[in-house]
Amino acid sequence: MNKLLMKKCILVFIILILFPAVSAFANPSQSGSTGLLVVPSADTLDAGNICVGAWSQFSHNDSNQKPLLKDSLVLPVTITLGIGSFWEIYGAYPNILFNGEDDSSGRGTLDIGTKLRFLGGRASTFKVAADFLAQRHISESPDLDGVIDISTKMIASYSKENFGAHLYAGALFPGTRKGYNFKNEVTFGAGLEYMLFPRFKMTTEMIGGTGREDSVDYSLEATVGAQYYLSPHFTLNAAATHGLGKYDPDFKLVFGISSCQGVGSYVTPIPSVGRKFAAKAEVKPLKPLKIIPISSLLLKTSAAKASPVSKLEVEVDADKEEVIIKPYGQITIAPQQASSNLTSPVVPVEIPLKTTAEEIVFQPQKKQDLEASAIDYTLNRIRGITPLFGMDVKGSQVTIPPPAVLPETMAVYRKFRFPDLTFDFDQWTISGEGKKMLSEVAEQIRKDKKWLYLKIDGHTDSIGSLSYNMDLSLKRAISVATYLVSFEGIDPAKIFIKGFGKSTPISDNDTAEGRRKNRRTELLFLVNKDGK
Amino acid sequence: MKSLLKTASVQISVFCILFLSGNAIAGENSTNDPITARVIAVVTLEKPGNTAHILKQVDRIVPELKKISADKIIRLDCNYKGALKRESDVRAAYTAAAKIEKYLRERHKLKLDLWISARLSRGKSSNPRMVISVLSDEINQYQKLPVNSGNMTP
Repeated sequence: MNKLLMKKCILVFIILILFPAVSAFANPSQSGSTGLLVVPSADTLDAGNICVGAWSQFSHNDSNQKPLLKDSLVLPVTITLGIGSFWEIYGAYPNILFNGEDDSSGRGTLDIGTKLRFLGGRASTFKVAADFLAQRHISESPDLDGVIDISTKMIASYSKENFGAHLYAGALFPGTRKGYNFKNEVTFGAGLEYMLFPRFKMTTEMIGGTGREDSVDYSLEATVGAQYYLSPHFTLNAAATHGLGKYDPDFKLVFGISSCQGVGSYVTPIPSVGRKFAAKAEVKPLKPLKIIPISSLLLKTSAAKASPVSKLEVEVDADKEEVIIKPYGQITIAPQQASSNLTSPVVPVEIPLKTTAEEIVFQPQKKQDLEASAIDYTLNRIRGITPLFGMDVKGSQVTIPPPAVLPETMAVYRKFRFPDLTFDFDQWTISGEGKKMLSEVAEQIRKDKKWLYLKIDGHTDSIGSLSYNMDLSLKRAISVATYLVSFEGIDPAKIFIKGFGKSTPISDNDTAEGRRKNRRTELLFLVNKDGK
Repeated sequence: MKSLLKTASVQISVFCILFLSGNAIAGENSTNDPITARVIAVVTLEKPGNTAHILKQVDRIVPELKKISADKIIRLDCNYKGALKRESDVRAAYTAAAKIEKYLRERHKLKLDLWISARLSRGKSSNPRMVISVLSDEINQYQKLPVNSGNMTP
């Protein structure tokens, strides 16, 4: 029996190790009772997060040597709540199978406890926490049922990169049980964990205590476990334990799935795999360059002023268009066609540019009335000078530079950020409104043949690890590109995609609305002005 | 011995890596593609969804990629036999390229700017493949445009 189970245990480990470890994901905390595997770390679940776990535990005892102990199978459930940045509350129900094997399993208690981290921050290498736990026995034995044990312990954790070590020592004060005189128990434990692969963590631990009965000198259990991170919110856990004490199980197998999630507006990043807590990068503000609404698509909402999204981009009102040009260039807005449906008049003006190392010389400009501008517009089209992509404008006056002013190979980036092209948390599926928006964009792309390339940039909010967000942003960009190619017939050879992860927020990640805006894609067009 | 030769020939045919032979194949892979300056390598895929087997081949390309100036933009272009109108085909092509991008970025800590693209065809003659190329400086200079302050409000 032992050999068979050991073989199964080894097989489970091999399978887990062979899982493809693709990326580092966030780590559902093993805080409190949420994890049955490891010696609790001194870390606490961040405020506003909740973790739940569903577990199965099979214990085996050799009936010849331990006649009072039997094999048992229980299914405990656990919950952990992050209350503050250093405080969590946790609890556990012993067995949802209700098969009467709670006592044999050694987990026949309803737990409620709390942990306070009083030394070290979340990103610190060394942390210390105090833990208080009350355990009410749920037993078919009337003597034991309802007895409450109290325990307390101090936990110290050291973690660096992929390695972590945890140590605790404490005391357990057994409740009064009729006919028994239990001694207070000293408890201790030590655990090591190592992130073998980005998604796979190995744990080993030893826990024990002095016996609470005179006939028992000590209890001691050695455990080897593993965790596999299915996603930022789900973790598979497995462990095998061997008992060394008189009343410890010969061996014990634990398997469970745990899940963590932010709640409400208090969503904060759950701990990262490998404890990569990147410091919040300071976003250097840049001055606005220009804002030109180009179509009704971009005038749906008027969002709050946003932060710049990269060194190449400029601070603009969200949902408006950004245009970045060479410093010696200037934007020309052609007179509007009669069919234009733009509602806001746009009067282009000369761009005042800051002096740089490159000498900037503006060519003299002339102002014309609308009729003259229309003539120039037509002539420019004949000359092969393309108006800016998809731009229809209204205005009583436009400024038309002489055609010779334009450099032959001048190209501009034109960036679009659409309000409906944002994503739900942890999602990369385009919404119905987003698809409609993309279809309208594609329609404009098809009309204007002069664009050269389209770059799709994916972005995320700040929740989750760096690697996870890079993946997610890429998936979002892929979704948009896939839609444009497969449903709108855009040539994929002209599309580039890139994921920026959480590196370029346009809004405050501390608010739900800000995070919603950051979960976005941006479309960047490269348009050759000479139409070649 | 025969099996060894067979394995070797399969390896060679499946993983055709052409270092620094951009001129030879650029015409084939970047026809009408003015922004591709130099093809670094072409790695043949068995199928886009299964990229694990080409990672070792990618490892061999990395030393060449690390020689490239950090201000260059690298294009990872998945050429895939599929249908443009099939969403799964298009997504598979992008995903294959994305996996290579992630591998280069995370495993090899490649600091280059990696852009992903894909193209699909129904051709039967060629296997799916990943074309890794350097984009021309023309596009790079736009990428590096300095942002000047200014105001051009309506």
